[in-house]
Amino acid sequence: MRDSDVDYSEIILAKNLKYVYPDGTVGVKNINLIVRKMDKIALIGANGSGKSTLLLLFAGLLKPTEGDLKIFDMEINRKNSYFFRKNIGIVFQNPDDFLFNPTVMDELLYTPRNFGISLSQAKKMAEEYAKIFGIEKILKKQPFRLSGGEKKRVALACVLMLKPKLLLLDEPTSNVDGKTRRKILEILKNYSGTMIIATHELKYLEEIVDGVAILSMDKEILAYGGKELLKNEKLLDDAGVL
Amino acid sequence: MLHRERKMEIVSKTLKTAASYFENFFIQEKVDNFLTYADARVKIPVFFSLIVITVLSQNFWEIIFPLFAFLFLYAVSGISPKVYLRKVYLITLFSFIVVLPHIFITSFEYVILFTLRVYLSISFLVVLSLTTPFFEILRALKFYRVPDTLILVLASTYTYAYILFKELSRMLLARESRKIPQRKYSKEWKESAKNVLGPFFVRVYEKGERVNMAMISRGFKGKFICGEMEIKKFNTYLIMVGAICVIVMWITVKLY
Repeated sequence: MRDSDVDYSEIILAKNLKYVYPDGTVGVKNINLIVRKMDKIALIGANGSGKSTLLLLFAGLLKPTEGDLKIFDMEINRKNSYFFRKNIGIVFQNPDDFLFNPTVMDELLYTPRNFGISLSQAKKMAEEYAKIFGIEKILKKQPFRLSGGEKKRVALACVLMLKPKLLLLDEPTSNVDGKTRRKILEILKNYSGTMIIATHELKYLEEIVDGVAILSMDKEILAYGGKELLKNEKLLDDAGVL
Repeated sequence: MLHRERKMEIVSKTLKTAASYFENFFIQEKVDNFLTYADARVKIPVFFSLIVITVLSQNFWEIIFPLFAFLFLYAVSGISPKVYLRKVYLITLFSFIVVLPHIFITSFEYVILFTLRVYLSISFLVVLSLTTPFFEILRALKFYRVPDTLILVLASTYTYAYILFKELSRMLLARESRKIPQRKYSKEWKESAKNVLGPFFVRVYEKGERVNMAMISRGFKGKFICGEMEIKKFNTYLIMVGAICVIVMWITVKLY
């Protein structure tokens, strides 16, 4: 499928979306959401409110138990999965789950090589992004030997180097120091695409996002609107974020 | 009672040491030495050939060639004697004990030769594994047309084995941090054993699922893909030519 075949005006369209884990735990329910092209949405909620589950659903890594979910105006299936993998970038909350190659360089080469980009071209891209993320000195290191902040930067570099049209980030600034946080926020501010950030760190969100979806502890969307929602203390308190 | 408690403590420590050993076993490849930059596609047949001539050596004149080859390879590998000896001593000692009764059947010379053959074969494998990143070995296997499925199984085993032992280490560390000193070790260990093993398998399973999701999200299509390492031609040719010389000399001695 070519990129030009796709209508990007509505990037995500979720109707009565529900996901139940195999052990019967409800991940999310009654999710109705529209995310338009170039929207930058913050998904906020307390721990266990279903933020990560929702991101995995939007990435097509989990299949909804009930409801309709269209990404780029299509339902994700086996036939079009390649298109989605190429256009959706997701960074997991725990970089240890995300980094599985022997060296940082291998991590950076993994995705472009999977998409058939030549080794020399992939290396060029890897070096360019290593510079942007300030990880050029650790390219030969094993990812599991890195600090938390370095792991986050490597994971982000791996995803952003392919310039995905939809970027899904699960707690991108958790467990990192101030310098790394500033670096990550600076990169995210300059990202030109649709982005959904799941987080409960409200302090830095205003600079990056233009919309907010608040998840309740019932795993439903409590409110969805502009970033003025970030100032609604009662709502945030009800959601268990404050 | 105290004796029993100590025994239980030993079980706990052994499990922790074993988890830590296996966790490090997979990540202790030395990455910067002469042998690392030799092409694994050459290194594998070279080491395999040296092991074959070691195993086929019938007397000390013959085994001297692979012995010298090993000494050279070990010298350029930069592996510390401590790491090397820790890996070879147990199997060598075991084979010596197993073959020891042969003093009365064949000769003492045979016992030494047999032990030397085992020692050298293990040594070649240790040097190969400590100087070649695992994924380089897989790439070489791919070059030799080993089926993709088998390579993928090996690659996945490597990735998941690390995750498994790392998870076990974390759980044991967490257990230790919450151990109450007043309680009896024996009782504590019995309780912990049943409370650690079940959750451990569930955690490893879930962790494996998440890693699999990460792989899929990054375009994994069921094929092993990995970046290529920098290869130095001089290192590769030197090893290849050296090995050919050793094998030719060994054949000459064997025939005459």
